Amino acid sequence: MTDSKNKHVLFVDDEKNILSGIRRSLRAQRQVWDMSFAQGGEEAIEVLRSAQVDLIVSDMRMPETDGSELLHWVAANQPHVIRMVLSGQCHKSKLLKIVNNAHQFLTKPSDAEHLIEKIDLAFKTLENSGKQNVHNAVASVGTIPSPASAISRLQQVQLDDDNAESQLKDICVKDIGISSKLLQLCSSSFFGTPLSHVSIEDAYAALGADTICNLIEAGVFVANHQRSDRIEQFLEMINEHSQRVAKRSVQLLHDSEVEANGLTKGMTYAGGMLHSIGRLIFVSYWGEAYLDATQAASDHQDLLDAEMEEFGTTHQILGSNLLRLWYIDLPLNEIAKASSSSSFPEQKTDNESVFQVSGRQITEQVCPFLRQAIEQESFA
Amino acid sequence: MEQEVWQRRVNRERAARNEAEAFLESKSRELYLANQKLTKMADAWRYENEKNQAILDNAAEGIVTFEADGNIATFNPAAERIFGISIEAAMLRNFDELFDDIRFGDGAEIDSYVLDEAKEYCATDANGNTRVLNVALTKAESNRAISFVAVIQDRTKKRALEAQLAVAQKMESVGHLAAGIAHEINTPIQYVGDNTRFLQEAFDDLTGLLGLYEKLLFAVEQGAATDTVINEIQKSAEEIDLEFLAEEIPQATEQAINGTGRVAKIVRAMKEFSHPGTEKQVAVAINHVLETAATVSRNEWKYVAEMETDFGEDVPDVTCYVGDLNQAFLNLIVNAAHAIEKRQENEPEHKGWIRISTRRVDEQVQLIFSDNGCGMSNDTKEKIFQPFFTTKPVGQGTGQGMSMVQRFIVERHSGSISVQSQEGAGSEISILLPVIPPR
Repeated sequence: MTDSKNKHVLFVDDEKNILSGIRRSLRAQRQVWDMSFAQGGEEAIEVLRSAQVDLIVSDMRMPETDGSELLHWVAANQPHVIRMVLSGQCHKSKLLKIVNNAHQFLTKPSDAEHLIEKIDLAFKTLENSGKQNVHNAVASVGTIPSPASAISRLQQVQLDDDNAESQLKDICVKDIGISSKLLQLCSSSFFGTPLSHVSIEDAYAALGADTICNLIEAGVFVANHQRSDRIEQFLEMINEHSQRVAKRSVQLLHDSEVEANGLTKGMTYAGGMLHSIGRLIFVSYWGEAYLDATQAASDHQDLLDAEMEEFGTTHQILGSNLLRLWYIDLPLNEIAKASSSSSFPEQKTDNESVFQVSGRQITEQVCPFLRQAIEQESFA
Repeated sequence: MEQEVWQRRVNRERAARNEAEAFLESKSRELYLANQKLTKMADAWRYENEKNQAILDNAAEGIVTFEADGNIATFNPAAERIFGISIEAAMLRNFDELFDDIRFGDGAEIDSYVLDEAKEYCATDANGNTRVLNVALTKAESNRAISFVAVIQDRTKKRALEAQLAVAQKMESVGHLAAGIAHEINTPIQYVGDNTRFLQEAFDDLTGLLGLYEKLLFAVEQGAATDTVINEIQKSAEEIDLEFLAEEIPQATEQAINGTGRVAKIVRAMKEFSHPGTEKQVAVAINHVLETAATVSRNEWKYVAEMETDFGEDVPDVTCYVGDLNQAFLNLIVNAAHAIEKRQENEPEHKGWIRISTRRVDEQVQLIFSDNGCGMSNDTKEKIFQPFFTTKPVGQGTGQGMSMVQRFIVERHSGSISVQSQEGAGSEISILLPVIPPR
């Protein structure tokens, strides 16, 4: 039964009953996955050291090494492992530590179907990546880097100021790193009931200014690597370009005959903001090598060619994989298809980027405007 | 000569008259002065009287005096307001008739109500509302008579506010606990669900296998060939891993049953805990109350400490306000857990424990809550019963926990609390509760 091609899932909980319950309820999956069960953080680290694990599902509150410490260890030592939390309840202070180390947050009780669905979907990203280092680039993202200017503006917001809230919101919705993190946190159960089809503004509202301030204080939005001026400029440029695309696509939607509700508008804006998120993944994983490889590209097609040639993947693949890993329900894949020519190998997907059936309609509504906006905005 | 005599006589008489006049004048002057003094005294007396009356009339406290036979002699307007009856009506009554729980009997018992400190009694006012009154009764003995003075404070509103505050605090802690309770319930629900799902699948597998056995039975009955069916059975048994199922099904069933039992226990404890409680004191098994408090707070302590209980079997039921004791015990357990958590911040390897023991001590029950947490400094120890005193960071402690414990144990149940603590080593809170609270 230990087919080496099977994906390996490790479940961690301090409660033995939980582990044996999961083991039994996932019995039917034994042909599909290899499964290990560790009672506590130390045991989990032993398993991770001795076997190749692809995905870990961990409880949060455990004696000694708890979930937050365990996932921190995994993110630091085996960043390719997909990390999920399965927890009943935990302190906010622990949550703040986990937001950059866990890809998704599931709540107890979660039934087997639910678990299987989430795990399978996450494994799809692994398959879509094809090569291990492409997967690593996506899985190791804690936060998408924000330009230093955005971070310093964030830190300068004086909370006692009357305009503080609107200033804070303005910074959040205009920054790819922050808005993608907010979307991630709302799309699974980090801070409450998960929301599907959530706009950046909704995510901001759902989390609330207090929690967002806590995230800022906890240093969630400070990207953790040394940056050259060149990368800094690149981050500024991508953010600025994405803002323009987002604004224009909303404008196009507005000018059209299409009856748009708040959700469609919000999704359009989010799609515009995040359409180039893959380029930021490239930069945070490969650094200036990415800029070197793509600096000659003069249009969108050129860029994709260059990315493919040098790294064997494109920013569209990276971007949509990250969103899927974070369980963000945005049709990035569709946007990608819409805006790229067919000269690339089609991704082996069947629209899973849109998890919900109702989302498909939104996708159909949103994509044309995004494509138009991307075409109209000068290439960045 | 005759003239001389006459002259002398005249002189004598004149002198006498002068003397008489002077005497009269001095007497009338004395009289005048005396009269004036009297007027002044009368004025002063009237003034004093008016002042006393004004004090009596305007005092916020009800002031009632009565004679040794209990007949009311003075009844000020504040008293009229408190009891809702006029002075005229009051004059016709005995003092003890004003109260629900004061009875003088034939008068011999009056002295037993004269105490050094004020005490709370209940009265039913003219509108039928129960009022909580703080009464200070003193005895005034003079040469002529014995009289009693009662100064009465209306505590009804204050008590109502306190009760509201207690409810608010209880709801706050219930709300806080709810999150922990949710976790306590989520865990068993998770594995009850998982095991049940497994049982369902296992049943499907077994039904399939059973179908093949039926086929075999049929074949045997018909005298037909059985090789193929037996093969099928063997194959199916292997596929569904019959051995595994035979081993796992009983365990899964047991865990599912245990899980529902655990949920039921938690829900029951929460229900008992959050029950508003009766306003009357009832006799309860104190060990059970402690167990309930430990169950609802389990999520607060289970990650930091082991809970050890040593409940005396001979501990009698205690007549008490059970809601108050629930809350007091919960506060003590949560405090112990926090103290251990605090110590573990510096000593991560420190194994925490919380011990609760109960003993009967004559007509009292002794409860001891001890922990090996961070302990308290002498300064902290002195202040723990002060309202709003907390050692927790801002936003985490309201400083009400221990002052509540004090109010509930000492004031409400006439119990006593003693605190022992050593900084860095742990604390021990010892409580004595009378089995039957004194009147």
